[in-house]
Amino acid sequence: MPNAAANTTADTTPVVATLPVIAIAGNPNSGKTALFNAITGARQHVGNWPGVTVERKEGLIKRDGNEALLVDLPGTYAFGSRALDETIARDFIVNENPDVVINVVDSTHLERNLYLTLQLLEMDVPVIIALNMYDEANSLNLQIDVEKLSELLEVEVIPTVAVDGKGVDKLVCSAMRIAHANQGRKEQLKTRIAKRTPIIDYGKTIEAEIALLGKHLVDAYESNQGLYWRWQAIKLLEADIAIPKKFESVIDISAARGKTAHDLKAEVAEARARIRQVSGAEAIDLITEARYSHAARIAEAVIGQDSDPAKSSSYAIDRIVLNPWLAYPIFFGVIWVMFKITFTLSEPIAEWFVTLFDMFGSIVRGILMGIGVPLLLVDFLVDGIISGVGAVLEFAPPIFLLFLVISILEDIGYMARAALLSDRLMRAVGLHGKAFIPMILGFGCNVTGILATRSLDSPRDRLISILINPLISCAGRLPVYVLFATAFFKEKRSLVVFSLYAMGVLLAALAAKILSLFIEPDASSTFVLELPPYRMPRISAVLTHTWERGKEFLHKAGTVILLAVAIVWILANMPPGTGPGSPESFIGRIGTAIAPVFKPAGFGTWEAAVALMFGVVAKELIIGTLGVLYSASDASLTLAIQGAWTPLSAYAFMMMVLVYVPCVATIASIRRETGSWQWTTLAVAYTLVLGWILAVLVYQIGMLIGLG
Amino acid sequence: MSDARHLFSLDTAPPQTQNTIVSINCQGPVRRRLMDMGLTPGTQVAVEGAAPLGDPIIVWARGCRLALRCGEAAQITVAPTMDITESSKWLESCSSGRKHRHRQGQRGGGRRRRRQRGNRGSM
Ligand SMILES: Nc1nc2c(ncn2[C@@H]2O[C@H](COP(=O)(O)OP(=O)(O)OP(=O)(O)O)[C@@H](O)[C@H]2O)c(=O)[nH]1
Ligand SMILES: [Mg+2]
Repeated sequence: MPNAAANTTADTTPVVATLPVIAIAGNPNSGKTALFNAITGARQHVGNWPGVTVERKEGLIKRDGNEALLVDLPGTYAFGSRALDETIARDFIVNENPDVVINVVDSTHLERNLYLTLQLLEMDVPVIIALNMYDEANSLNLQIDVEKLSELLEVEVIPTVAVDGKGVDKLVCSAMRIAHANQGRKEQLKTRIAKRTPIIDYGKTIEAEIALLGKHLVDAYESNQGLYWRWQAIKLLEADIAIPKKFESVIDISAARGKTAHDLKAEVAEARARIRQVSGAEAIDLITEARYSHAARIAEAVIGQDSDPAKSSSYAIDRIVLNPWLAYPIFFGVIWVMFKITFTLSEPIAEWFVTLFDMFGSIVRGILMGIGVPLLLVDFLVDGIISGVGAVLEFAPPIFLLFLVISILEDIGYMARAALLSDRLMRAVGLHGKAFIPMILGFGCNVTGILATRSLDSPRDRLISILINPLISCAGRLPVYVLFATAFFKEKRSLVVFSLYAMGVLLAALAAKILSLFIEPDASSTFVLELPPYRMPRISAVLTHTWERGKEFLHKAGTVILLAVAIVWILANMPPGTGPGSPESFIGRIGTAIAPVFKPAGFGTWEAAVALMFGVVAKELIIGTLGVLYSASDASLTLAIQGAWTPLSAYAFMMMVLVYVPCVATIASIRRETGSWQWTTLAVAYTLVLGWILAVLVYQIGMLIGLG
Repeated sequence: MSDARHLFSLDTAPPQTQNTIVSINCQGPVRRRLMDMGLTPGTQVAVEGAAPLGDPIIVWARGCRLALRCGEAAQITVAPTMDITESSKWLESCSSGRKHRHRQGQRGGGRRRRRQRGNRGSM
């Protein structure tokens, strides 16, 4: 669904540059997007696994006549992280100067969450803490002393339950107040608003170096930056890869004032060497440890009673879900059920839809003829638009069900388990388990899947995951399978469709293996995955999410598909005088020119060639195009297809549809995410060639063993 | 921290015992990731068990449940925190890992806070 990717702002109001900016930051899966939705009324994607949000989303807050821009960010564990989604969050906070940061803290994982909080406080941006998942903390009997936490951190702390909206109003009021107080101030002043004393004492050795470096920075800046220089000094000592833009300017200033950039760099290196000498450890390690001990001390001081994680229901459920004997049967069972639900459950509704559209077509025709609309126009509307778009819309039921199942899986918390369980299998092809999540999402839409690769640590894993994702069969290809499988493989249709999905996964694995042989391994590939608790899927959230994604399908049917179908019909009826949908029409001639290419695969008809051609625009159009081209021959689409294909060539055709060329939206997202035309071209070329080869193989081997 | 004989790597640590991280033996991004996720020297970790195919393993650290690969766990040296006899009660210990930490924080006042809780109640 192209819009999911293109639209990085929530669908509210155009962004006004002068509004105060409130950013939402925090650990992955702490409930940031749930909070964003609660505040703005948006319906951004919430899911129970780390790494759901991978780009920033904006929305407008209006409270008591005041307005502010709210920015939801991807989750991040630490400021030095390398995964792209985490980098996006950090860069926004460091470089874009939000007027206030709402730090969403998961109160059931206080210690780990505070690690990021401390880094935010150290940065000295105005922070307000949303102590989220407060309901879960209560039910775990964690007794958090909110006032004490606020006192120790010297910032406002407001308990919230983002999914119920509890505490959200209070949070917004405070955030708006701080944001408006800060807005319009010069950057330097803005950072000054919060402060107070250093939040962490790093011990004598490091503090001495911080002071020394800080002094150089103060000199360079010429103004008293209070604790801001301290943060910069710490960052320099950490050798954080996150050298913010601001630092570069500091280094420039120091160069301008007679101190060269080299001097500053050399001083930092010396400082690190001194620390290494005195304490026998790297500065960055000492700093990380100091932060975590501080986080632990605070957590200890504010948590009255520890919970027992082993008593949690998640732990009990995992005894079964991750049980050595049951885990894989459950794993494959889940995938099987996902497809079973998609097909079996949707069948009755789908049949009903087909009848509905047929009836609709004849009624419209009747009415239009009755009121004397010219025949050509009636044909255009009924045979062109209604047949074409209708052929696609008939498949709304399975597509919605597929989205529903994926949403449930995301909400329950099974995604992280699937990643864990697939790690061993993924390793065989040079990837790791986290790369499995984009594949599952790819079943819904490849654009979503490709975006989700942003949470992978290693650029190499990410590149491979992007390039193989188009082989995962998305919802757009589903209509083709359902139509053809039902037309040719009555009894065995689910098995046939399932075999195509399985084939897609196997090909993706194979492609990953081959790519991993050619792309240099890098050292940054780590598999450290937090296992979120199981959560009861909330019906409203699951339905909303399903609807949001299904809506894109409907939207597509009403725009791109409608337009393309109209074009197909017009081309099929031109030049005037040619019979509708005849080989002499413009589109017939184009199709006839391409068709011989597919002859060895058994579907060398010009209609098939044209359908495949338009399918590149959107896979749903394959059916839409066939719907238009065969609508002239009064019989139903199924009958027309049965006339033009054999079971064997139908299977070859489905194989082609599975593999050949990603749709335009997917190609665009491959281009955007890899940033390279070469890789994009490769993705298009290899899928095209592979698709053709496989289709030909299926057909030729089938003929050889007498299936034709 | 502990006698050299009692050191082992996290992937070989007996499941369901409480261990203290002694050192992280890799460099670069992997080291950063492990430490940023809270696996720093001095931290209490308990191995919950392995995934069905033996890898990755699941560990508890700082109240979080993390899956990590044996390859990465092998880079983490740990020492047992408790007596063998006590270790069978790992369930208790991993939940109250904080109690076993060497640096004792301000744990007093827990009871007082719990009393205060009453009137704060839910939000
Ligand atoms: N019980 C409870 N669940 C919550 C609360 N807030 C969020 N959740 C659930 O926590 C999960 C994660 O929520 P998200 O809003 O997607 O988390 P996020 O911080 O945006 O996550 P990333 O985008 O991956 O960084 C979802 O399953 C939510 O339904 C809360 O206050 N209480
Ligand atoms: Mg999110």
